[in-house]
Amino acid sequence: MSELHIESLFDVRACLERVRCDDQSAARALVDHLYPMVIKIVRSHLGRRLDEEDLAQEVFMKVFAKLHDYRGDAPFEHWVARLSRNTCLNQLRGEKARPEWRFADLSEDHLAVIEALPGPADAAHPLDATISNEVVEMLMDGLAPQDRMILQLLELEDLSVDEISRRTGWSRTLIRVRAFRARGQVRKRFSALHEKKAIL
Amino acid sequence: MNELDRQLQRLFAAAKPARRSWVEANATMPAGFAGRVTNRLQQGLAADNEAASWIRLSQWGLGFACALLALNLAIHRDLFRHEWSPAIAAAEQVTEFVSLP
Repeated sequence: MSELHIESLFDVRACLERVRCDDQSAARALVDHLYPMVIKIVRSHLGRRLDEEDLAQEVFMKVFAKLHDYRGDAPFEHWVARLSRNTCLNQLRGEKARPEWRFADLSEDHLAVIEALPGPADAAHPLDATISNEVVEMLMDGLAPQDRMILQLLELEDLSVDEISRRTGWSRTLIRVRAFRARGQVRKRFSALHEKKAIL
Repeated sequence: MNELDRQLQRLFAAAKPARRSWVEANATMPAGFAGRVTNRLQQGLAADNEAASWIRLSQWGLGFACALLALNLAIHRDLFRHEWSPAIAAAEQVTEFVSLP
């Protein structure tokens, strides 16, 4: 689990003891220690967001509020990771779909990537990764947030359906259905993009 | 797989490195982040303490009222005596008034 690569020198157990005794500096040290893992989970589940720090703050508030529930039978980082994922999923439930992009939103760089797509897919003709990612993000705008997350995890992070099921608690059937629906919508938008490009 | 799907697959494959580097990189904590978290935590604890104080106060009030009632019962013994319980007397008067032909 790459997101749980945490520096092992940090003494979590001792730090937790101090946090439980209302030690502010220990609480700050714990936030310092966990932040890289938490922000990765937030980004991985919610994609590009301007308020990722707000969500990370929510995660830490929950960590401290539920600290008495942690019984120490699993590594603390795993417990925090699960809490982070649940917070992200709760956030997704309350989130509305982002507005769909318009053709006018595409820059010349975006159009260049789209025009290069029918060409040969080899090392001699690479596509710009950042611009490609922006086009993918635009194609996924307007999807239901949960469908969007599943497509991101499946297609961009190469997670298996089983792994997503384990992380989210959703059934494999539900994940497949959501992924199928999301792919269909992205395909439809991509097709519309080609039609508009052909007209212009 | 049709041409459109092939292009989409290529687009997603090309986007992967950028996505991964964005998720993995720049995980440095913004300045003051830990302080903001601990401040919110303290504010939350203060609010909890205030709520707990009110709960304690109301519990003391309820306990005091119950003790007063028990003391009254001990002194008067007869709970349903009219002089002692004006509410029962009033209820009886209302019943009489309502049951008039």
